[in-house]
Amino acid sequence: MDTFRKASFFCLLKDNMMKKSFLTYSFLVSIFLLIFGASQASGIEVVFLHRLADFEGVIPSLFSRVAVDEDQTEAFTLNPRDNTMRIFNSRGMEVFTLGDDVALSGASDFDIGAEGDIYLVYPRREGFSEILRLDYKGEPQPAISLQNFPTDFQPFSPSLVQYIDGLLYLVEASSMDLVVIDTGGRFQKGYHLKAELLELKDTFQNSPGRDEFADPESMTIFGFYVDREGNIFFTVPLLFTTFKRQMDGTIKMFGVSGGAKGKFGVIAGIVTDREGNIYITDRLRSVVLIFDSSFNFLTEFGFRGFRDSSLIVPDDLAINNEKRLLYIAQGGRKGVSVFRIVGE
Amino acid sequence: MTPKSVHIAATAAFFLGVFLVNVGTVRSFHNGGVMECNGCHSMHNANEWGPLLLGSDPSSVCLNCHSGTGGANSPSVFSADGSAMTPGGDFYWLNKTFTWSGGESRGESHGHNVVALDFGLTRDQRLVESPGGNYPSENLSCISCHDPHAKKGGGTRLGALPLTVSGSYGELPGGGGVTGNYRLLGDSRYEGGSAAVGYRFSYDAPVARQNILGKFGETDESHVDYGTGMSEWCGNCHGAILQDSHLGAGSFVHPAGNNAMLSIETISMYNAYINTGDLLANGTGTGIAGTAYLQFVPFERGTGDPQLLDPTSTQGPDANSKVMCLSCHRAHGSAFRSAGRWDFDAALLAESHPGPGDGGVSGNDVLYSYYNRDISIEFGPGQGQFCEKCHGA
Repeated sequence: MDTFRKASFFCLLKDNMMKKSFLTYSFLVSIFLLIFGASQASGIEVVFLHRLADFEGVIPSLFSRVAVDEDQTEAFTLNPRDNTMRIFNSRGMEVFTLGDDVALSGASDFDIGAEGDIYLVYPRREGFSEILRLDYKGEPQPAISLQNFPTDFQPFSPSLVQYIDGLLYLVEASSMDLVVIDTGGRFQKGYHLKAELLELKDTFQNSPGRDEFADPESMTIFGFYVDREGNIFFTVPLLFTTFKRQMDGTIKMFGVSGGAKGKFGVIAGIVTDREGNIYITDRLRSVVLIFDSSFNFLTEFGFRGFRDSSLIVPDDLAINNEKRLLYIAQGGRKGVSVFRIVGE
Repeated sequence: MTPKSVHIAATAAFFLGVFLVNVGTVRSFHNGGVMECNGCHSMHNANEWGPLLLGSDPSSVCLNCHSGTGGANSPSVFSADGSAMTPGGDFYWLNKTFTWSGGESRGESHGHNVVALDFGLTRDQRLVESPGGNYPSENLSCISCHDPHAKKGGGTRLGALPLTVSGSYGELPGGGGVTGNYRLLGDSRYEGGSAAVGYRFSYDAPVARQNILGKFGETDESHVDYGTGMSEWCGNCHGAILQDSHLGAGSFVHPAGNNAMLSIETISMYNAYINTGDLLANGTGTGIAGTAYLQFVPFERGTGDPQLLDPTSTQGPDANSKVMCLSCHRAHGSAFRSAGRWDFDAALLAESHPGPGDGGVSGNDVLYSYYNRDISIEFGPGQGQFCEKCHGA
């Protein structure tokens, strides 16, 4: 028995457990978790369902933008390379395509509004972006012109858009300005997120494990998401950090760079579910990371490869909270993968 | 081992674990020099292509960070809309074929066809090797030109001093180190990227300097100021095209290189030229040297000292100036054939392709093709080729 104990660390552990040395056991578990970066125990899982397809098979789209219409349980993709918008049913089969008679070229992002309206944003190098609304049939409606913008938000050429309850949230990625307009184009409120982050520079740099605060001029937003409570989540890959701007104006941050589980490579799209869990795509690591509402890492899935459940450079993502479905657009002509969220 | 020993070992291991977790990186991920290993490589979950890369190929790794919406301070060189108007251009144009009545401009003719499968960029189907050289087109990638490990003189492994600053913005090196090569370009010790092992470069990286306040932009007032060696460096793969002087009749190759000095007549024309309509009866224009610089026709200042370069200078050329490959071409890609800075096939630039109504045109293609400058408005509808900037009408 003595010889065996000397040869086996785990046997020693077992031996100590038998002696009810709970403290030692706890220490060892803590060490294991710290060194190997294991996540907190979590019941959340994702299960691969399918990739969006038509009757000829998987549609090999490349870096589509994706959105969902929860009411109709439909998914929409905007494919900038062939200037089409495709609509898929809940089983991931294409049911309709727009693009033949609608000028989709130049649109950088879109979202689905009330009654199936489609809002498209067209960035402009100078001046204001154009916002186009299509009705649920895909018929173009009068363009939305941006109005009543304060001078400190002019010009404003957003490339990202999200619709929530009659409001459009628009983000200009390079300036990191976020503006809320109504569907008539009227300015409601705006945030200079880059300026707000600069105020956090010291806090950021003094946090353990952080990289240097990047050149502010080079910082851009890759993904953003506004939850039902009005919290604004956004990813800044150059800082390897995800930020949450709360309704009271405070900004929280989480994430550090690295290649291990739970760490950030090049983060991009972000959404949250109704439980407050946060889903973030990582282009470099080819995974989707899941954190709880307190920013504790839960799990990650995907990983580079050509298996169905693998991902290649995941980028934009959308969530159908009603059906608990995640739609993940990616590179490598792998199309849009659909996963179901199971567990809590 | 006694239970007490276990306590001691566990405590020590605990603090070791805390230490390991908290030893984070506090330096910049990628600041002109070599980046952190795990930015490109993975000990696990890498692909099968090669050295544990986090991409289907080398360029796919680079584009994880260097793709996206362009801008003067955006590091993107591959946008979804042509907005990456960098000095080198935008790989976006490689996937854009334009057609019009009686003609077409194929995407693969618009630049260097780097292979980046994750991002939908594929090899050049027309060319097997680099024109004027023998670099295999199937191996062309970002690291064909840019050394991802940012080595200078072979790197410290071969005895070179470590890099302390980027070589792109004119910074002076810190103690005990050297500046990097401009834009991480491979030098004479570089082997053309791991995809083309054995392809040895002959020339060192050029001397050039970009504006640190607009690292990825290009205008007349903020641009790369080229010093020397640019054309020779292109000659690493295109050597047979590199000619310092005119060849005999029937085999014209435009001069470019360290010995391709601008003539007095050329210097005078460049500095006086404003546009086609401005040309006076004597063949020159009304411009002045102090504001003559045109982003569409850059040149080398003829100095090997980055401190003497000024990327905000609008000064035209002088007796030290030289014509280079990039006087007419962009290194990555443009909207035009042969990666031209302008449409080499349009008698009038207002009739360039892509133009309004052309097949394949989308979004802001027409405006972005000339870096957000409306040629008709700014230079006039009768503007001819920008060859005129040096050669007159």
